[in-house]
Amino acid sequence: MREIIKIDSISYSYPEGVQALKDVSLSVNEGEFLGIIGQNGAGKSTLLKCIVGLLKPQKGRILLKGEDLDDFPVSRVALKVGFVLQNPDLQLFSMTVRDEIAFGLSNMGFEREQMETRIKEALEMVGLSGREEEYPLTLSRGERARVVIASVIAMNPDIMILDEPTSGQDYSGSIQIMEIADKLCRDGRTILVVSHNMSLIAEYCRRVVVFRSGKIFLDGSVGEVFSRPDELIKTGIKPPQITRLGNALRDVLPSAETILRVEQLGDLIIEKVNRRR
Amino acid sequence: MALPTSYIPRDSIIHKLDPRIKLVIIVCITLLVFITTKFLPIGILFFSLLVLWKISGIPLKRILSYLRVLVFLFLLLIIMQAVFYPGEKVLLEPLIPEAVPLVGGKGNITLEGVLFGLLLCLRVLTLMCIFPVLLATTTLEKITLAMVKLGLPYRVAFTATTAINQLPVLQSEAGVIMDAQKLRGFMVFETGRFLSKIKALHVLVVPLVMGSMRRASMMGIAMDSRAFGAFKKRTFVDEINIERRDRIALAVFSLFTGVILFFSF
Repeated sequence: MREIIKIDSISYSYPEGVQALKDVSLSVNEGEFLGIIGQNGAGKSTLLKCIVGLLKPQKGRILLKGEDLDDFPVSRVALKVGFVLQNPDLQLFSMTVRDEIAFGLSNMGFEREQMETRIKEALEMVGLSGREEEYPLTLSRGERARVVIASVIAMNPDIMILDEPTSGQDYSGSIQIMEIADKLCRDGRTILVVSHNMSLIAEYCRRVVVFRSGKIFLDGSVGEVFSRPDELIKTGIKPPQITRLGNALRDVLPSAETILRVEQLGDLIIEKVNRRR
Repeated sequence: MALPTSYIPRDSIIHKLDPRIKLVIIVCITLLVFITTKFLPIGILFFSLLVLWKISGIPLKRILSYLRVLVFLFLLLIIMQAVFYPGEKVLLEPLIPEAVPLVGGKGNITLEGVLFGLLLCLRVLTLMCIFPVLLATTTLEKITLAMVKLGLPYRVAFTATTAINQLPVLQSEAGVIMDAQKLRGFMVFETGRFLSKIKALHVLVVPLVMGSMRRASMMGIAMDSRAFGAFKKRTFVDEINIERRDRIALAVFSLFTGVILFFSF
């Protein structure tokens, strides 16, 4: 698999002096679905902002597809990297959903017909077909978040970064957003998502990076990371309940240690019970 | 983000002064800047303010960021004054050739004009240096309290300080909106020329104003739900008292005002 993001020992301090990233290195391959977790202030969002160039690390460098980020303004990087910021309301600045999505496309210089097609496709993808003429800020919270996602999807980026896309969303809203991300990933895009919702991370991500005080604390497959509850607790993270249950059952059900889904554990238990009979 | 309006917690003498005294002094300095039309007193005012900055703990480097914002205005001021201010000592011959009807032969660049332009710039800069002293050394609650004690209705005082309080919020929101636009490939704020940036401002201002209005209505609800205005009389968590140091400060400032006025006329 090809490496798409290479972060080479970057450090970043905010002007007020808080060091948010300390010598962080990370490599992300094409098509990965990477979850980034950690407490507030651990450096997750700072890292994401460095990746698109909104923040310039004082040390180290970031390569996107082998190209050094330093050479491009954010608006150029945005053609390759779609970034959905935390608060949808500040990212909606148009009078209609259609204009909102067209904004990026106009900047990219698309012709009108192409724009129409892309707008239609993007809205279909996020389940908002036919809502083109509505005023974005009157939509529900979940819909507003999806309009922002659609406006980024329309630009067809290779990498999609979602910073806490599910915060303030109800369960079905969160699932909807993660399903969109999952579909984008299956279409070959690389997804980076920050979330505090561990069950969603467990369900959708393949790999997890745990941040702690500006450094990468753990990095591995979801199963590996969540099977280390004693280390995770130091970062204030508890694995999803199902993983903890599987972990508690590991003496009688050794393969349950890295369980991530209810169905998985269910199957294991049924299998075990059936064997006993 | 360090903002020009933010409070800097310190233990300086200026922090300790009664906010009423500070308000009075600030207003007086502002008036002085408007009254004064000579270099020396303005220069003294400017340097005194820098000293106050230093004592208050405001980084002097911040002046540079003001200059960066104001450089166009300053250039314009100097050029306009240089050309239009009536003066004797001609530095440069008329910009407009004699042959041009009506305005031909006008537009001498005079030494007096350039100096007057520079003076105007210094006055603008001095004005900008005044309020940070109050805001860096006084919490907004205390400023509100001071205004109330000086006889302003609480609602008016609250409105004024809330407006100041919201500036950093607006600034950071403007930052996020611009980021969001960059992230959708909008290049103007990054690489555009000055004029195209000005033209592009509407895409920033519209969402900013909309957002403020929404936030204002939310804030109203939040305040109502905490019994804002339920009773006529309200109490304050802070207490302010005029003490000896306040009287001394006022005396020193009166003397200072005398000196400035002496040099002004």
